[in-house]
Amino acid sequence: MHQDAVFRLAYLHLADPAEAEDAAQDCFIRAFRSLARFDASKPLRPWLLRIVTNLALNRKRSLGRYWAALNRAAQEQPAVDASPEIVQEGKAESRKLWAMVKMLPAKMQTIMYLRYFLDLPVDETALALDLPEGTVKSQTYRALKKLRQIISEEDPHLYGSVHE
Amino acid sequence: MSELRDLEILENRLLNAGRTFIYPRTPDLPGAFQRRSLPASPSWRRWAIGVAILLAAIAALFAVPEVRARLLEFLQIGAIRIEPPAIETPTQPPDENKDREYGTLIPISHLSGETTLEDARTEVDFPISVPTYPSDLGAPDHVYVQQVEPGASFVVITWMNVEDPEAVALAFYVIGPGVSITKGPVDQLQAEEVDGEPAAYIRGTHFLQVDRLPDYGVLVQAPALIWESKGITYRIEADLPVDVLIRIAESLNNNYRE
Repeated sequence: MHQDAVFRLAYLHLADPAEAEDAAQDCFIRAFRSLARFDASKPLRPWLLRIVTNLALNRKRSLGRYWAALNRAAQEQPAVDASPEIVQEGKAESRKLWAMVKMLPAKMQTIMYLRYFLDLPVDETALALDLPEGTVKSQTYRALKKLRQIISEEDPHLYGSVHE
Repeated sequence: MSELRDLEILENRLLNAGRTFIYPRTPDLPGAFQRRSLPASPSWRRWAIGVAILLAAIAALFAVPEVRARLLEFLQIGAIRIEPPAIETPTQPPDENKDREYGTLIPISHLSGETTLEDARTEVDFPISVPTYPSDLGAPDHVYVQQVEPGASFVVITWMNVEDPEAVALAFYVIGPGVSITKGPVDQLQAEEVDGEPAAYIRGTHFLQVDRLPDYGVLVQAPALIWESKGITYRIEADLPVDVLIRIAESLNNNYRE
């Protein structure tokens, strides 16, 4: 459902469920405000993801909100709904990889989230970013190279596991 | 190991991480909206405006067949639950030559709180603009202030049919913050614009219910135009073609600037 994708992308960018919820709600309100200008021949999800990306990045730039999110994150455990095994697996690698992705520049982060965390195909990612598909591919390649460098520098153990 | 192979492995790890990533539970956005709507705060006002637009925009887009399927899904996740038109609803623009089939306008016999326009402007805490088109429209015949609850009201202004003083020729709703109205299911919806902002033109019999005002539920048979401006939601109901309704709606701004 679009709701999941929108909320999750906001969460990946903001790392705070409350902030992500606000961004997701803003996204839908803005989308509806702009529906008259929406090209009905194109898929809806990339358009929503583009809106929520902009909203999330704007929120992230706001230092006050960012610190508030950090404080809340420090005080609260995220509300998860998964088996212990999945939680363990998530802690073991997903969260670490997420932490590494968050060290990428914002545009690269967005590509990583869309392509891999949300598993969007190239064409839909291109629509979401308003870029040609070829540009998405080349930027994905650059982001992967940068991520590999970050992992090797920041978490050599994870880098090793990536190479296994 | 070649760089490409290296990156391919990283790619697979990322895909796997994405599939197993633990996200917080996706919030209930409609529920969140309702929670936010308790106090008459600036935040609430913003959401109320958004929802009004959302209603209009969803309704309008349902007239476009190629987006209907996606909107059905969209509706399931949206902030508002709205009864859409039946799938077999005709999607052609209304034939304006069939105006006479519209039926009767909303009865006003059940309305209380009649007052004057001047007094209404002092009773509510939002501006009340009235149409200035057509030029011979004149002053309204009746003005009713309907209070849903303290701080949440709407105003119904009517002009009566000159030839039949018991019949409403034009009903004009000015809906302030804190009020929500549900419409539907609707037969025909059409996306329009009023002063460049999204508007919904609704035609055919539909039910209108003011939330938190159980007695205020009426079956509407006349066409209506709904739009929002400066935080106020407007609704015009009249047995008139859509272009005339839009012209009436856009005449509000002239009045507003005065």
